[in-house]
Amino acid sequence: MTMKDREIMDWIAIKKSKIIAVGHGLEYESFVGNETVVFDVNGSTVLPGFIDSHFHMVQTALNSVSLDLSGVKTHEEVGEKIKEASNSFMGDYIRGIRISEGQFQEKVYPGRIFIDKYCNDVPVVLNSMEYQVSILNTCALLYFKIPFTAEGIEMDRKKMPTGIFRKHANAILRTNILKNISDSTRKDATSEIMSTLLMNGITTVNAMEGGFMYCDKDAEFVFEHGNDFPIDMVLFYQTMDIDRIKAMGLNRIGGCLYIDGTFGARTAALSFEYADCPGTMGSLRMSQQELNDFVIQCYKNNLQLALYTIGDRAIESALIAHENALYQTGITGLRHRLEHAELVNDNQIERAKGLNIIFSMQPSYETYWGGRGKMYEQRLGENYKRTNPFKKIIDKGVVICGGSDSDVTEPRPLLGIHSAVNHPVAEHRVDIYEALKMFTCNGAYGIFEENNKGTLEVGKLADVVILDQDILSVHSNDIDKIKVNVTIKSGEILYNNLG
Amino acid sequence: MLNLSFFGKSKVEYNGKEIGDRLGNKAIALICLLVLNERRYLSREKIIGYLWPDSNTDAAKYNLRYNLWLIKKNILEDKNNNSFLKVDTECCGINSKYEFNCDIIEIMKFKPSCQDSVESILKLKKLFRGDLLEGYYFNKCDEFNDLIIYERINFEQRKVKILNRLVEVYENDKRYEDCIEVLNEILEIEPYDEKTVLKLMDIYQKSGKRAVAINYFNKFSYSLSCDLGINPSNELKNKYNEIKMAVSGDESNDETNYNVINKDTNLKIVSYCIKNVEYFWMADVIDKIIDSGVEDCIQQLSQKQLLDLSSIQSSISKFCNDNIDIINYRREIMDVCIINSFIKLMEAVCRKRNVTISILNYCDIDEISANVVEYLRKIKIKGLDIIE
Repeated sequence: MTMKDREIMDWIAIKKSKIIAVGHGLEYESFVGNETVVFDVNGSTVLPGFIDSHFHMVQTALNSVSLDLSGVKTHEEVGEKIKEASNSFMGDYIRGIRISEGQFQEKVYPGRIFIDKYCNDVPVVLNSMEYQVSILNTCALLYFKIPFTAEGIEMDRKKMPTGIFRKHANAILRTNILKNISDSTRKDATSEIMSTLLMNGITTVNAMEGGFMYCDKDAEFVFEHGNDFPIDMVLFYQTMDIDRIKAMGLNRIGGCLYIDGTFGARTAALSFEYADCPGTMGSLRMSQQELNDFVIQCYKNNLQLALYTIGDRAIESALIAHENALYQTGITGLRHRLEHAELVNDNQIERAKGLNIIFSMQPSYETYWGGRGKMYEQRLGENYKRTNPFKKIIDKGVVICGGSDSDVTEPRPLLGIHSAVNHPVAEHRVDIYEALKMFTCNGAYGIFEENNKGTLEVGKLADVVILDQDILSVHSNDIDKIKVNVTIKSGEILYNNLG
Repeated sequence: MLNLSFFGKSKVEYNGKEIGDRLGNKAIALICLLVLNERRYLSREKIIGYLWPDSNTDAAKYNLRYNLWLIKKNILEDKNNNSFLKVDTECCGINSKYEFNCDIIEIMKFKPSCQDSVESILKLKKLFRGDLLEGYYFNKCDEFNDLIIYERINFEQRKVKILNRLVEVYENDKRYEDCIEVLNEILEIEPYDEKTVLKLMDIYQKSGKRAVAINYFNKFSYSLSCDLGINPSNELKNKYNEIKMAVSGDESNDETNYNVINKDTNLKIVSYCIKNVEYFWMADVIDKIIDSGVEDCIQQLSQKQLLDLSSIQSSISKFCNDNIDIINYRREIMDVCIINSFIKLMEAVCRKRNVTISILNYCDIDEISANVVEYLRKIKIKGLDIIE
C-alpha cells in the first residue's frame, strides 16, 4: 500500500536510502542484480515506515530500564521486587515506577523505613503513576539533593521525613533527580529501546521532550544526539521559551505544553462536571490572555506550535488563542497542532478545520480507557461516548496524525490502528485506510515531511515496513495481532524476522 | 590551626594541610557528631549506637578507641596546650577551650540582628559549599543517618534565613542587582516559593526592570500550573498587574500611584474586585473615574443616570442636583438602570479619553460586574480596553 490515493502496487525497489521504483507485474525483474536482497512477502502488506507523532522518547527509554511496580498488591511485594532488583543493580539508583496508593492492600504508600528493610545500601526512588508522588529510601535521602524546606515533605511523629514527597517538594526533587541523570545513561537507555521500536515498525518519532514534568536535559539530549540513533527523532521542545527555540534553530515549539491536565487526575478542563467528582470541572493552566499572547508570539516567529489539550474547555481556549493570533497576524501555513484533543466537539472540529489545525491523537487510549466500565466512563459519565471522535474529525477534513504517547501506552502503531478501527463507540470508528494514514502520510504531514516520508513513492526515503499478513484481509478485531516482519529505515534493513 | 568544613566535600585541614584521608570517613563522621553536640559530652555508648550499631560490643568499643586515637594522633594540642577532644572512660566531646574553626559552629552562631554587615553574612553564605556531610552514608547506621537528615533540614532552613537576611541588607543599601542574585539563589532552593518571587518582582520593579519582571512572572506562573496545577496567589498577581500597568519611565519611582494614571488623553484605571459583593467592581471603577478629574464627562450624564449610579457609588451623588430626593429614588432603582447608566458613563468618558481598565483580581469579581465586563467587551466601545 503506497498510502497515496489508495494505490496498491505489486512491488517496490529500493536503492541506497531511496525508493527508486514501484510497479505491477514482473517489471521489478530489471532491478534485481546479484547482490539484491529480495523479499517475497507473499501478499503480506508493505507500508511506509510508521511515524509515531507523540512519543516521550527519553522518559520511555529511562522507564524501560526501571522497575515496573504497577502489578504489585502489597508493600511486601514492593520490598521483594526492590530487593531482587538490588541484587542485579547497575547504575546510580533503583527507580521504581507506576505505583498508586489504591493498588496496595494497605491503601497507603510504603515509607522509607519500610523500604530500608529490603534495600539500604543503594538509593531507591519510587514514582507514582503520574509522577505526583516520589518515595525515597534513607540512602536516597542522603544521596540526592533534597528540597528540605519545600512544602510537601511528609513527616512522621518525630518530625523526620517518611520518605514520601508530594507537591512542591516532589516537583523540585524530580527535577533534581532528572537533571543528574547523565547523557550516557540517557544514551544507553535510548539505544536499548531502539530494537522494540523497529520491531513495531516505527521509523520516525515526534520526540516530545523537556518541560517541567519532564526535564530540559532530555530535550537537549535529543537535540544533540538524536541523529545517533537508527530511527529519526523530530524534536518537539516542551517549553514556552521562544528565544531558546530560535537560538537552537528549531522551527517548532511545544508538545505537552499543558493547557489543562488529565482525565485520570480529573484536571482536564471540561465544560461539565466530572461524573465521579461532582463540582469538579478541571482547570486551565493559563489564562486566556496569557495563552493569546504566547500563541501570537509563535505565529510572529513562524513556529509550528503544538499545545496539549484534553478537555473541551482546553480545546476551546486553544482555538480562541489561534483565532485571535490568525486575525491579528494573518500568518498561515504553520500547521499548528493540538495534542490529544480527546474531548473535541463538533463546533471545535469545524473551527480547527478553518484554522488548518492538525489533531495529534492517540487511538490506543480508546483500547485502554474507552467504552463501558473503563476510565473514560468513570470520569465523564455518558460523555465517554464523545471521546476521540475520529470519524467525525476526518469527515470534516481535519488531519489526524497518530501517536502512542509512549510510554503512557505501548509504542505499537498497529495497536493504534486497531484502536481507531475498533473504537468502542461505533460512530467514531474509521476504516483501515484512514487509520493507516494517521501513522504514515498524516504523520509526515504533521512535521512537514510529506515530500520525503509517509508514502511509498519514487524519490522518497526508503522507510518501509513489511507486515506478516495482508492487513486488508484480516478481520478488524485481529488487527492488533498482526506483527511486523521487516523494518527498513533509509534503505537499511534494521529488523528482519524473515531470516 | 585546625579548620573543619562539613558542608559539601568534607575537609579537615590542620596547619594548612588536608588530613581527611589520614582520618577516614568514620573518624570525620565522629568529629562531625561531636561538633553537632558541641555543648555536651556524648557517652561512648551513644557514639557506638550512632556509628557502629551492628558491631559486637568489643569490636565497637575498639573501633571507637581506634578512631579517637587516630584523631588525637593527627590533631595535636593547640598553642595553649589544649587537646582537641576531651575524652574519659565514659564520655567524649570537643574541648571548648581548643582553638579551631568550623563551618557548623559558625553557622549555628548566626542570629539575624541589625548589626549584620554584608561582609559578615557573605562569609557565612560561603560556608554552604553543599549538603552537610555530602556523599556520606553509613549502611545500617540508622540513627546516624537520621541525625544527618535532621541536621540537613535544620541547616537548609538556616541557609534560607541567612540569604533572606542578606537580601534585606542589600535592599537597605539599594544594591538591587545583588539582591536579585541572592533571591535567585533562594529560588534555586525553593523554586515555587511565592514570597521570594514577590520580593524578586518588587526588586525588579524598584530597579526599573519591568520587562524582566513581567517575563519572570509568566514563566513562574506557567511552571506553577504545570508542575503543581495551581495558580499564583492573588498577592503575586496583583504585583504583576501593578508592574504591567505602570507607565514607562515611572518604573523606578517607588511611590508611583498605580491606581489612576492620567496622562494626556489616556486614562488608566486599576480596579479591584471583592467576591460576592454585588456591583463592587463597577463601584470601584466609578470611584476611580471620579478621582481622575473627568468631571466634564460625568456631567454629560442625565440626573437619572447619576442617581442610578449613586445607588452603588455614593461619591457620584455630588454631581446630582441638590433638590433631588436621592434616598427615596434609590429604593426604586432596577439593576438594568444601573447597568445602562454605567455603560453611558463609560461611553461618555471614552469619548474624551482612551481608557484602559485593569482588573487586578478578576477571579473575585461579582456576578453582575462580570456580566457587565462581558457586555462591554461585546459592544466594543471605542477607546475602552479592559485587561484582566
